[in-house]
Amino acid sequence: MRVGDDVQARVVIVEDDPRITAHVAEGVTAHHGLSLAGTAGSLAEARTLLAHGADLFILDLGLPDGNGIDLIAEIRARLGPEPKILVLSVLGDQTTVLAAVLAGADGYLLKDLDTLDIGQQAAAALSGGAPLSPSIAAYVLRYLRGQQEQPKPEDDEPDLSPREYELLQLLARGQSNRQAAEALSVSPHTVGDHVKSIYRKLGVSSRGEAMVRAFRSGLLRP
Amino acid sequence: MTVALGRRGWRHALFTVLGAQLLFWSFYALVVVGFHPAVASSGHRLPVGGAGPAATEAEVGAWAPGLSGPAVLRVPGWQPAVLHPAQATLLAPSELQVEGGAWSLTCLRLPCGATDAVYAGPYDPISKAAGSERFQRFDMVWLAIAVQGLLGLALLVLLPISRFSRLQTITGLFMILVSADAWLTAFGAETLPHAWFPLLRYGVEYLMLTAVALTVNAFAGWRPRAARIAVACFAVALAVLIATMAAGGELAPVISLLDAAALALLTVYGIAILLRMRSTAPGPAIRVMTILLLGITSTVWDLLIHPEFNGPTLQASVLAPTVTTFLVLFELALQGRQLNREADEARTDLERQVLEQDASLLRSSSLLRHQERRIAIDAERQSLLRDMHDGVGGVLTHLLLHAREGRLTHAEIAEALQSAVDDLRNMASAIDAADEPIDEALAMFSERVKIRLARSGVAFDWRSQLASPAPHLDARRLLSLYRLLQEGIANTLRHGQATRIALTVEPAAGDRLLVTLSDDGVGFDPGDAKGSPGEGRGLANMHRRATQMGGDLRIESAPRQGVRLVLHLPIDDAGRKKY
Repeated sequence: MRVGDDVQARVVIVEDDPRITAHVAEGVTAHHGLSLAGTAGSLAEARTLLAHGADLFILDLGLPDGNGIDLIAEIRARLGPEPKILVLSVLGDQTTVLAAVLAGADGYLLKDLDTLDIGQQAAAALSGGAPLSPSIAAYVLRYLRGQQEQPKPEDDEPDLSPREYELLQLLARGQSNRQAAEALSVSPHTVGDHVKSIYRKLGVSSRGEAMVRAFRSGLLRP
Repeated sequence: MTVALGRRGWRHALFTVLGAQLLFWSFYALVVVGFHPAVASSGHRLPVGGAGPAATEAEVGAWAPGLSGPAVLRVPGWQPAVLHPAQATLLAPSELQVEGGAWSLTCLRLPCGATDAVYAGPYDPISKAAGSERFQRFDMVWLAIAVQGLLGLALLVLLPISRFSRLQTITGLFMILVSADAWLTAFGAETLPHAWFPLLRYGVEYLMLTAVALTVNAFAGWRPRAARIAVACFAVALAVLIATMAAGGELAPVISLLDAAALALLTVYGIAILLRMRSTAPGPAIRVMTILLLGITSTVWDLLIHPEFNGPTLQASVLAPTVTTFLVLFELALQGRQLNREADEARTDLERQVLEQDASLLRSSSLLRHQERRIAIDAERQSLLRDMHDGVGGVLTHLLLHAREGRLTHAEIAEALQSAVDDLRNMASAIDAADEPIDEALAMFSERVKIRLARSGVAFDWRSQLASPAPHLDARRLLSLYRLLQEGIANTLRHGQATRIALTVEPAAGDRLLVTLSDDGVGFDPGDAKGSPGEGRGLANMHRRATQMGGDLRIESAPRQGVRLVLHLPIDDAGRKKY
């Protein structure tokens, strides 16, 4: 789905704090490419919204009736890889963001962002302009490094390719899409493909399962 | 002497004892019968009161068994000849005709052991008979002396192998004493003719008997008390000898008495030891009994039975020590094997224990490392907690106090809260990115700052010139760096009127990092930095944080030329972790 002047992307917000919901909603409606399709304050409400579909989900992980991680899995199961998912986070810390990304989220939004920035970042996520923020790239890298130190099960999913790994490192060091493409001698379009591949591999990989499970069971907290 | 436990044990004991006896007596019979002088010289003994052999053309030899010194043989019709112990002497016919008369043998020096047994006849058989006597009376004794002495020496020399076993030491000394005693008994009287010679001879003998007792003691498991008693007995015997000699008394009865007492004591002790060993070590007890029985039977044979047909024969007790020696060596070899096996088992056991201990040490050392790490983490947490008070705590307290008094505008409250949230993020990020490459950590910081600055209309450039993998900082130093940069950026926003801020990190000389934060704002005159109280404190704070990191901060600025914060950071070895 391209964000354009005529077609507005439909956004669903799942957040139990009405104040934050309002703040985010304000950012969404202020952006001309986005329209608010609905808000939910709990997992149950969010599930009823799933039937109508959406282009972007902005959701909180700590919901009164469950964990937002589960919702991410449900969205991916019912709506496929198309809808973008951003997680609302207070600190943007490694544990929260990584768990969300491994469960299938595309990125995160800091809760205290200015409304204008919220709209901009949400739109950027939809257009695929900034494929991997430095922090997400760094978190994923650290996660993969930690994985490498562990003995791997044999039925593991294929690793990231060396190219993808290299790209992650460049992005984690704060290089832009264009800079990374130059460093790798590929087109920015190819970089986008690599990023999609990284997400796909992380999403289908069973390696994230343990962390996601730990997060869901409350061992790790959002 | 009841030894051994079951029927099988008895059979085994009997077999051992009888086997040793058979071996010993066969050997003895072989030596005595094979080399008996009477066998070779039968029919040539001079009749007592007779005239002796007639002169013939053949060579005639004469020999007197049992001589201990030279004696003159006078036979009618023959020239007088000197007979030496265990040697045949050629007789020369005399021109002088002596009619009638009897032959005679007289000592050159008394005593010479002359008897009425003299043999004369064809030289060869007589010489052979004399040779046999030499073999039994001298050669065998020398053999025994040499064998015992050399074995004793060998045992002493080889002591280090058995790690200076007490049994081996005493056995070695015992054998050397047996050797010395044999020499003194057989030849000492002639070689060392001295008034005090008996003291030496019997002293050595009793010392040897003491050594027997000590050997038995060592063999049966050393008991210091028994050893002290044995040595005391020896001292008493020696004192009695010296007293007798000094008093000029008759030595022979005293010696007999002492011999009897010593043998009786030894026998009683030996039996007691055997009874003690019967239950604990039947095998060695049987072997000791075998050796003891050999000594007893050979002594009894010599004293009661020893047939002196036609001249002296080998005493069984001369042969006994040699045979006994071999049995003792056999016993030592057996014990050595046993010791070796035990040592092997002990070594295997030790190796296993060492391995187990290694594993346990490894476990505890990794546990220790784990605990050290935990303590380090705890310390880090505590210092982080302190830093938290320092940053967020300070801001919030300040905010609370002022808000209570209603002196703050909404914008001021929002700004203060924003800085508190930013500081929280810095802490979370410092914990997350500790021990991760510093370029990644600064990239994440830049990501956060960039959005904020973009809202204020200030562009933010971030550039790293570090090779990959970049060094890392620990959580505290990283937090200090974040705060220093945050403070620098806040200053720029507050005072600088800048449109662009650049953050770069690059390697510097001497294993250091060079972090530069520069803006294109109005700058200030460093010489006049105390423009406002807040400004001065901000700069002081930044210097303090740089010092906390072990770094060195330089602030370069001039009016209308922007501000450059130049920070040199040392990177220690721990910061050079490879991925």
